[in-house]
Order: sequence, then C-alpha cells, then structure tokens
Amino acid sequence: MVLEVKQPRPMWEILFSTHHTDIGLLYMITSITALMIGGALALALRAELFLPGLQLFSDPTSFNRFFTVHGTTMLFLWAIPFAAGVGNYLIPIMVRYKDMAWPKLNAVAFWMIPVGAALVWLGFSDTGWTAYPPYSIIRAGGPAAEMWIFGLKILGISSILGSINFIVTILKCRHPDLSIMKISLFAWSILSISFMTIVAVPTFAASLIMLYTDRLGISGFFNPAMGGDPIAYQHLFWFTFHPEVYIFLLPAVGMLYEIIPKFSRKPLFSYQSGVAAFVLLALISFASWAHHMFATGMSFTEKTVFMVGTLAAVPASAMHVFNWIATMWGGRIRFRAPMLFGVGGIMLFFASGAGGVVNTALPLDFITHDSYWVVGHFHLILMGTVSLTFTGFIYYLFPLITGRMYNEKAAQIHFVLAFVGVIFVFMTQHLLGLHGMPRRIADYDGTIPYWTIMNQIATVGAWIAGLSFIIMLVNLIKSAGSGKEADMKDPFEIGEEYYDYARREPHH
Amino acid sequence: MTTPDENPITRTSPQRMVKGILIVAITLAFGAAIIIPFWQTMIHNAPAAETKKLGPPETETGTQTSIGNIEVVKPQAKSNANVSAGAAPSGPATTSPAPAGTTNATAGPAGKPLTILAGASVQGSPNFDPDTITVKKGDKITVTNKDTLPHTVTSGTGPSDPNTAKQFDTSIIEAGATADIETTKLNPGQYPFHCTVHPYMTGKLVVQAGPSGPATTNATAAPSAATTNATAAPSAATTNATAAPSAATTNATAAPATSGAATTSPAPAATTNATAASRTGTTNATAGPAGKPLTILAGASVQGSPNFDPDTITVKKGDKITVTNKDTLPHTVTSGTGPTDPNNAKQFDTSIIEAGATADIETTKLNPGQYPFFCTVHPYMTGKLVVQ
Repeated sequence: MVLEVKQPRPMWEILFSTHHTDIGLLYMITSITALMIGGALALALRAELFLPGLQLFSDPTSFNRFFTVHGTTMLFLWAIPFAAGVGNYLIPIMVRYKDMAWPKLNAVAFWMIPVGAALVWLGFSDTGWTAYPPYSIIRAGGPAAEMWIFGLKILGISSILGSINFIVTILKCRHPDLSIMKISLFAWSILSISFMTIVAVPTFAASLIMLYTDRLGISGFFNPAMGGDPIAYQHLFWFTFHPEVYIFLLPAVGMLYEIIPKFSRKPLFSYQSGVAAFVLLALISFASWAHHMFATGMSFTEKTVFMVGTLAAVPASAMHVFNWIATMWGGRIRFRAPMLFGVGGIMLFFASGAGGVVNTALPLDFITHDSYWVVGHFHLILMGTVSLTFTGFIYYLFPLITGRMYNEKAAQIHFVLAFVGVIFVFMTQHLLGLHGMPRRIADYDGTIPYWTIMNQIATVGAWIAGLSFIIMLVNLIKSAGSGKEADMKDPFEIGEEYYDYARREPHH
Repeated sequence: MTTPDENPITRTSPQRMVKGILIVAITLAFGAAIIIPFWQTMIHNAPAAETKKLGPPETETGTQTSIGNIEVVKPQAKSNANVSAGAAPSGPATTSPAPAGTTNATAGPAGKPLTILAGASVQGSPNFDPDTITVKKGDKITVTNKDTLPHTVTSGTGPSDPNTAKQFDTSIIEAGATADIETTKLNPGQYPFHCTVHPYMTGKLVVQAGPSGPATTNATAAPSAATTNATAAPSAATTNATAAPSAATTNATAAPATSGAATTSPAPAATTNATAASRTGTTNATAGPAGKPLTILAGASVQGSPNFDPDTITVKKGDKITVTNKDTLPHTVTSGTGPTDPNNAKQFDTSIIEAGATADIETTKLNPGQYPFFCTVHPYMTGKLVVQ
C-alpha cells in the first residue's frame, strides 16, 4: 500500500500497527464490513415488509432484533468509525504531524470497536437502538440486552478516546507554521465532532449503567414500578444522541468541503463561514434534544424552547449548503464519482433538512411522531447525505490508500442506482408516514392499498440500493488488487492537488 | 521517522488484497461459528409479561429482588391476613393443581374477590378488577395479586391523602399472594383506595348496609377451616365444600412453614394454584348452557386489527352471549360507544376478561334494539349488539 512505512510489510504488522494510516485503514475496513452487514439486515427488514403478514420472520420480536442491530450497526459501527478512520488517515497529514498525538491510545480506541461489535452482533438485542425503558429494563430478553448495553458502553469509550486524540493532535501537534484558521475544513469538522463527543457521550454512558442496574433490579431509575421515570431516560438518551446526529453529519460536511472545491476546480467560496457554521452547529446541537420527545407530555414552554433551538440549526446548515453551491457556481465541474456522490448528498441534505423543519414544528410533529415519516426523515439524512458522501469519499481516498484507481464507470453506475434507490425507499417512507403507517412494525394492514403499494416501492428501492453497494464492493476489491495504477499527484486527472503524504515536513 | 518520499510507490497487490479479505472473512466466520450454535437460545423471545418473575430471591441480601423482599418480611410476620405463598409446597394435598378448583386455596371463607391484574404496575394499564367493588357491610374482600410485583390495597385517594390507611390497609401483598379486607368496622359509604407502591392504581370500595348475602357456600366451608388464618384465592369461592377438609390439613402444615421462613418468597407453585383457582372461577361464570359465541380475536389489542368476531352480533331477547377472549391481553365488552359515552356500561359490562377466559352477557333485561359496545381497555375495539 502506498502509505506503508516500511515496505512491503507482512499483514500482521499492519493489523497490530499503531501508525495512523494503518489504524485508519483498519477503521475503514471495519466500518465498510459493518455497512455491508447492516445493509443486509436492512434488506431483510424491507423484504419482510414487501407483503403484509409475516413471511421471513417467525415473529415480530425477531423483526425487532433485526432493526435494533441494523440501527446500532449503521450508527455506531459504520458512521462513527468511518469518520474516525478518514480522520486518522487525513488529520496528521492536514496538520503536518508524523502521527496522531497518542498512537497507542489510537490503537486502543480502534480495537475496542471489534469488541463492541461482537457484543452487539452476537447478542441481537430487541430493544430498538434507543433501548427505551420500561421495555428494556423489565421485559427485554437477556443476555442480548446486557450484551447490547456493554457493547454500546465500549463503543462510547472508544469514541471518547478517539476524540481526545483528535483534539490534542489538531490543537497541540499542528505544525508551528500552520494557524488554526489555516487547517482544512475537514479538520475543523473533526475538531467540532470531537468536542461534541466529549461533552455528549458521557451522559449516555451514565444512563447505560443506570439501565443495567435497573435490569438487575437493584435500582429503579427508570422503572415506574419502583418510582422511577422512563422519560428521564429519554432526556439522558437524547441529550447524547441529538448532538450525535450532528456527529454523524459533520464529518460528511467536512468531506464535502474536500470534494466540492477540488472537483469544481475553483477555490472554496468562504472558509470563515464554514468554520463559523461548524462552531455554531456544534453549540446549537445541544439545544434541541427534546424535540425527539414532544409527544411525551412536556409543557408548552419546554416544547417552544426546543422547537426554536432546533430551528436555530437551520441557518448554520444553510451556511454550509450556500458555501457549497457558491463554490460550484461558475466552476469547471468534473463529475467524477466522488463529486456525483457529493452533489447527490447535498440534494438529499436539502430534502431531509426540509423534512426536519416539518418535524420540529410542534403541530406537525404530533402527526408525524413515531410514523414512517420519521424513519424516512432520519434515513434520508443518514443514508442520503451521510452515507452517500462517505461513499463518495471512499472513492476519493481510494487512490491514496491503494495507489490504484477504481473503475470509474462502475462507480458512476453505483451512484445512479444508490441515488435512485435512496429516493425510492425514503421519499416513499415519508408518504407512508403521512398515510399513518407506524414505525417498527413487522406486519401491516393489507387492506389499505396505499400501504402495500408504497411498501413495495420502498422494498424495490432498497434492493436497488443494496445492489449498488454490491457493485461498489466488487469494484473496490477488484480495483485494489488489479486496478489501473493511479498518478499519485493527480489521480482524478482534474488538474488539482491531491493529498501528498510526503509533504508533511515533520517538526518533531 | 522520516517519510519514504524517495521510495517508489508501493501499490496494493492482488495477493495482499486476498490476504486482507481472508482476514475479514475468517473473523466474520469465527463470529458466525460462535453465534450459530447459540442462535435459538439467543433469539428466543422473552417470556410473556405475566410469567416473567424478577428472579427467585433465595437469600435475604444480595440477590436481584432483595430490596422488594425485605419490605415484605414485616407484613408477613405480623399480618394474620396475609398468607404467604410459602405455604404452597407443603402437603400432598397440593399435588394436583388441576383445574378442579379443589386446591388448598379455598381454605377459610373466601371473601368477595378483588384482583390486582397482571401488568397493573404499568401506569395506564388496568389495575384493579373490579375498579369499583360493592360489598355488604361485614363481607370480607379477598385481594389476589396476579401481578409480578408487590402491591397494596390501601384506603385513601393517594399518598397525599391525610387519611390514608385509616380505614383499611392490606400492607404489601407479594406477587401471587392474597390478603383480606374486613368490612365489619366500616360504615356504609364509599371508600376510595389505591396502591401505596403505585399511587396511580386506584379503585373504590362501596360498602352497603345489611348483612352478608351471597356467602352461602362459604358458610359450609367455614367451620373446618376456622382454625387457620389462611385466606383463599378469591374466585374459588364458588367451589363445593369438599375443598374444606383437605384445605384444613394443608394449612396445618403450612403454618409453620410460613412462620419459620419469614423471608420465603412466592414459590411458583403458589402462583400456579392461584391461577388455577381463578381460572376455574372465571370459567364457572360460563357454566350452564353456553350462549351465542362472541370472540375477542387474538391481536385485537392492536389498533386497526380485527377485534370482535362477529362485529355485529344479533341475538333474541333472553339469549345468553358467551364472550371468549382469545387475545393475550385483558379486554372487556362494555355497552356504550366509548369511554366518553355518559351511558357506558349502563346496559351490560363484562368487566375485565382475562386472556383465555370467558364471560357471559345476559340479554333478558335488554329491550330490543341496537347496543354499541366497546372494550374499556382499548376503546378503539368496538362492536354492536342487536337484540331482537
């Protein structure tokens, strides 16, 4: 591999290395594996919903287990590790340091992920990825739920350790000539999410312990039978996981700042507004958690505060979108695969953002709450924006990692299929929600013709998207082994600079 | 370390790609090898809420439910009304928890039944059955806790009521256990009651003047069991007098067991007995010629699912209707269009029908006409009764 420190090394040396590129590679391989497993689970869920009645699953609880593991996998084993992997690869290059600040801590943070993944996958919990009590504490089957709790605990610690490493690397190990306002916007996005992780995740870590002791029956924090309050869990949970939504999103935003100017072949429109929007989003993300809970009977004042807090994220997000559009405007755009995915991601970011404004408007929230609208909305942002941009960035980093080029035509087919598939699935799910279909059901009323037809459209869309990712996998594997050798200065032949691993001028 | 910028670029080779994929595949295969043999164990569904116990506590400290257990010790020791389920595994008399109804639970004159339903601890679920219990002054009320958690039946509107527990208080009733409320000292009137553990569980006791009426069967059972303090499962009250002798012997052996092991927790056998007895009680209600069938379908509790079968049931005046609950949750068949109907339950009301149980509706007093009905637990379950 092109970044190998000492060449060529045996595989085990890469596997147990503490070098940031090796760990970044491990992060990315793990997360792409998780993407494939989570995707397979999603296809099983969609296949079950193709027809009313139970076909694939013997009972609804098995369905619950599948969507729980699907959600947990996609969020904690795909989105977060992939961002950490790209960060590992690029942050030391971007701040021109020899490695991450603490290479061994970095390796520890990575190796916690397979452990957490094993706990989540071997357990197959059925609590839903939110694990709301009282179900999760008095009824959910063990040991699956315990394994899920410990898996999430380990993944949380891993992301905190990774975040500490990123913050110290960016703030303290930067090259002396490089001011903080000169590092790339991707580094800014990683810096923002690292701070957010450190503030947000401990809350969830604490509530996981409370959940566990509640399950043991030695405490009753969330157990109404023992005077506890299940709603308290929801507050703790969303205090972590609303910021977490932005932790999923911001790396994708940072990647778009890498892709858009390069492929538009035009300088970035405004660096400062990008930095300002990152900082704003990081702060505002903590002011909106309870909008997930409007239906739990909060006072009107609380609801209004959180509605306004949520809407405050719109201008900051719009600053990013404006920045990208203004960068593309008048540029000489080359639609290579990363750019296609980037532009597709921006389009769907707008669509999902518009849906989010509907969600946060109090009267509309009550109509859409716990319906398929919500499923469509958050999948549109996580799949449509985050995952498509991440996928674009896989293609973008491919030459840097392997020294070879992927098959451009297959990648473009992948984009078209994935984009169409995503729209089929998730736009249809918005409509399904408006027609009243509740989320998290294994079976639905077959006498409502809308529901059956739209579920079938969504399932076909999911199959299209699934096929497109199989094309990607084949493309990546085949091209990594025997693809065209890339020109490391300008692999995309667009006349723009590419990452130069050798130009780091280490100062330590 | 300096970077090898003068080195030639090393590109991924097919061999290394194969090796890398093999590492991923072997890791996943290893995981699959762990999970596949245990798949059925891991994926098996949690037991239904009614049957899941918080775990059998064997010692006083340290186990899962020890907190709940310690609270229970006191009332068991001093309350003569509270027969702990520890009495169950005692004599040969208990060997057949057959649905004959002659289980040891019938010892002593059983009072009017008041049931704490399974799942009552969850706010919003049906809790006391019946919600309003009407007795004659002097009648005994036997409270059966069918839930998996401890409850109480305590007079007063809630914890903030200054007169809480002034009139009556069962103190903690363990899961599966029973307790008695004496009404001899209560003046006729209405007494709201609640559960001190879960104050949202509320009900009302109406005491009417006059001596006890329907306790005729109890009278025969009373002498033989008079020496025991044991109470009975409520709905077994209608069983015949043969129950009494065996019950008496049982209780003789049961008494030391109860006092000796004050920390004994409800053994599963006791729960079975209580359930068996109550099932008998419920089915007794349908004894005699079965009426026209009305079925509450499985899955009826899910909004939008088919609920009553038939939706519109047509009977001749005087016909009996037998309601069978085939769902896994409690339901009712109550006249009226819904909870907001001021006249609901005026014409007929089965009150709670437990899962699998049946209940009867008499139409002798109904005028010919149409009577919409619904389920008070799930008001979206509606149907119509046509009396001709």
